[in-house]
Amino acid sequence: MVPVPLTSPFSLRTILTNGIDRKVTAIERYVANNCYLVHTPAGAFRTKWVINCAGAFASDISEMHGYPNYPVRDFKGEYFVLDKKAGAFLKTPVYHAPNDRGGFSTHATPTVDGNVLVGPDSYITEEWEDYKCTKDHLDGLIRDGSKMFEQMRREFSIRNFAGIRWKRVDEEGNVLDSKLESDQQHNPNTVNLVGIESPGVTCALPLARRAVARLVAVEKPEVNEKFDPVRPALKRFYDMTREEQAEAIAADPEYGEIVCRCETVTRAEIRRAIHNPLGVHTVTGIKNRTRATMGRCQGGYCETRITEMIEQELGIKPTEVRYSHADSYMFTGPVRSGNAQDETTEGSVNA
Amino acid sequence: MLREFTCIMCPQGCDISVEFEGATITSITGNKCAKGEAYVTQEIENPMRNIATSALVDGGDLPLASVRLTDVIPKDRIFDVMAEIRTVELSAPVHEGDIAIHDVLGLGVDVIVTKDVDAA
Amino acid sequence: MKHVDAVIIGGGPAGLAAAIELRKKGIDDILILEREKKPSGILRQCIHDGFGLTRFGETLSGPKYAARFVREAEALQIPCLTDTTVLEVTPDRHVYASSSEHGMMEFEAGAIVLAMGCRERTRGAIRIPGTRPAGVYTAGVAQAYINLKNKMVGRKVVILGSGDIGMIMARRMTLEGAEVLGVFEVQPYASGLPRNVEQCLNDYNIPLSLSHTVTDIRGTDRLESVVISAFDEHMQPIPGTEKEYECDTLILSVGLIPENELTWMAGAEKDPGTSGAAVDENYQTTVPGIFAAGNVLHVHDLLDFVSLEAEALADGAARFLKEGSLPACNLAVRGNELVSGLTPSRISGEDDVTVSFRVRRPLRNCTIELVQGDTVVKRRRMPKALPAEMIQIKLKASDLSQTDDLEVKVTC
Repeated sequence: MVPVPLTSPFSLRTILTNGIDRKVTAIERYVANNCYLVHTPAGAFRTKWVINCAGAFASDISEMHGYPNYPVRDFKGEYFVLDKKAGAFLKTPVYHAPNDRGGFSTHATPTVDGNVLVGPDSYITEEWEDYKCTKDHLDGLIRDGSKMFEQMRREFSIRNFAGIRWKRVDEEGNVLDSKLESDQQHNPNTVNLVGIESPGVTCALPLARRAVARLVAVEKPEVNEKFDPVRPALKRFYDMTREEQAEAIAADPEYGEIVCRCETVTRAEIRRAIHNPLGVHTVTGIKNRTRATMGRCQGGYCETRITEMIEQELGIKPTEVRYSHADSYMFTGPVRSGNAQDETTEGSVNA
Repeated sequence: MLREFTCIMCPQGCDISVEFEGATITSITGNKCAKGEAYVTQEIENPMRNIATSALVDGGDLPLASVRLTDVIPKDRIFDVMAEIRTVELSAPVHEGDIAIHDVLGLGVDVIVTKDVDAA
Repeated sequence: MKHVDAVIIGGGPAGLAAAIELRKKGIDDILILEREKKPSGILRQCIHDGFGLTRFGETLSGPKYAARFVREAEALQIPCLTDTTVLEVTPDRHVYASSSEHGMMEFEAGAIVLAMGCRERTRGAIRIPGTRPAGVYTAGVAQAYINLKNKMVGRKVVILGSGDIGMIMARRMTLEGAEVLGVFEVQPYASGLPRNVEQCLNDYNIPLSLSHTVTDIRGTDRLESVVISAFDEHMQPIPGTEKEYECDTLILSVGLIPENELTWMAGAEKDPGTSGAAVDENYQTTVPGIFAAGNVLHVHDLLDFVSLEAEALADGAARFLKEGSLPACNLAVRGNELVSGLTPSRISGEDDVTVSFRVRRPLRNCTIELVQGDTVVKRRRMPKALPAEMIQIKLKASDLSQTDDLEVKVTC
């Protein structure tokens, strides 16, 4: 199991993210064998049950395993992340009273780590995976956010990001409810979830229970008595007392080396994050697991160390290190290399 | 042609204007001393530069040692000298002052190390 | 827990100079705490020349300048714990630090010297819109990768910010075969030193575009392009001036911020003009026995001044250790609207003092007057003054009165 606290949306994303590129291109039903063949560029996977939780692509997958291609639209929201110093001024989420459509505009939310999130706003984007931030919307967040949170000061800005909620819509573009369905008669052994959007993270566990209940109703599996749902929380060095910190270092000296100074993340924690069971090896993957690079210097001190640790722990070359996405190379090659070959070709990246 | 310089010979940083045709200077104004005049004259006729860069180190606790030239070279030879420096491979331990390349490209300057690098 | 007379946080140029001077002033029990593997601080990666002209009469690379201090500290056998990070400083001068080798350590300090230097301003801090691809680096980080880690960060480069580090990196990356498309600066003047504009940009025909900045970042996995817009004198984008530059690397050189988290933890007050601690003429913060010098106090452009400042601090700290306290500094130091980053903020009028500040914008033929009451204590005329160049003015105790606040007036 991946040892991450479940109270942070960033760590939940960590659990759900698998770095391997397995985009589903088709789903075939084999009636005789009572199974499905799920086709990806990495090969075909044989399975009994297919559960569609594909988010942005849920409509496409929905159609692939027999359900309608429910239309969805991208409702995008941009965010400000504010320094923990701003968090000292906000102990409770602040929301505007609902507007006449029942919606909330920009709100301010203290996080469990002590930062403040201002946002999201909400607007439709026609580009498919559009996660960029825009000047107009950032300005809007400043304008609306400042009205309810005085400490939205320039000096507290750490980062901006954007997310998308895919909402089901009808022909006129009116928002419809999300779908959780299971048509055992026409599409046996499937569960279909489309248009799961805000508050999707909060509802993830109850939604999962409902989806699994459909499977259980058909398969009637035996309860696994040996499954222990309780996993001891892994304490962050940052959250330990000085005594606990001393003990942690005594047990594993790499707890004594601080790699991320802003968020007090140790070498031991980064090392563990690099060797995560999902096989995610990006800088962003480490960030989501440990909070390293999330502080006010945004990796100015620790990023050089983290990339070096990724190379050393995994035995890979600098040109193989990735920042977050598949082609997000960080280095084009060595500055100096040890042979007569042109160093721009030796182990370099073809951009 | 007219070119404006900020002189770098002392902290005063005089703004010096130079009129010239090709490599021939016709007038210099704005300098407060002869060093400024000498500086801009050199800049127009034969600009000279030093280079600060890195050389590869084998077996050191760092992969690179910083290097520079013992004296300035003509500006238009910078990239030729860089190409030579790219071929250097030093062995740790390396010390400040070690000569990485002697009389590089016959220009009468050495490439020297400016940082100690211990053996790993 | 261990008692140490003088704990120095940071083994860069300020910390090293302070340590050596403290020893020369008779303080034996000194400990430097340094988070890197070796002391020298940021100078390890500043391989270019230009350091030491004032102090040593010759121009040295960063590592070479630092080496002189490191060797002297070693010769004086001043203890230095490396790979050690300070986690907390308390107002009663307890310091918590940890390392793999020694575990969690607690020190009770007679005096603390804060010499942590600064960090770089980030993309997030200046709210550049766009995507979040790989390929966006602050200049110091790019410098560390290239000069220390032997990793090249990109091939086609746009540099935002005409700070010294940005210009130095323009040259550095060009020497290593990258194509630097230009340096863009939102202000109408360069924020770094003129000699760097000359030797880093003009030398390599790298254009410097003033009153321009990045207004969009594009590319999903790796940077693909940036959009640059022209800005007017009110620092607002001029519509219709957007131009897209294809590039794989964006280097940000948009300012340095003194790294003072430990300073605030210790309860020291901030000087709103410098982003650093408010200090008196002894470089003592508002917490007795806690001192600050170097970039952590205010960002310097001349390394030689850092060493001098740290040595002046050491004189004050040594006196504090010997006498138990320092005389009160009851006179405020204030600057007019053309003055920024003024230190110290308080003086006694009984001692020599060095006043440091910058002008807020480039000025020609300006007059600087240091005034107490009706008396002009010192006057200096400068044919040219740039925000990029810190101005330091030394005052003698004999020049100063002990009754009036000190005003720094720049007129033009």
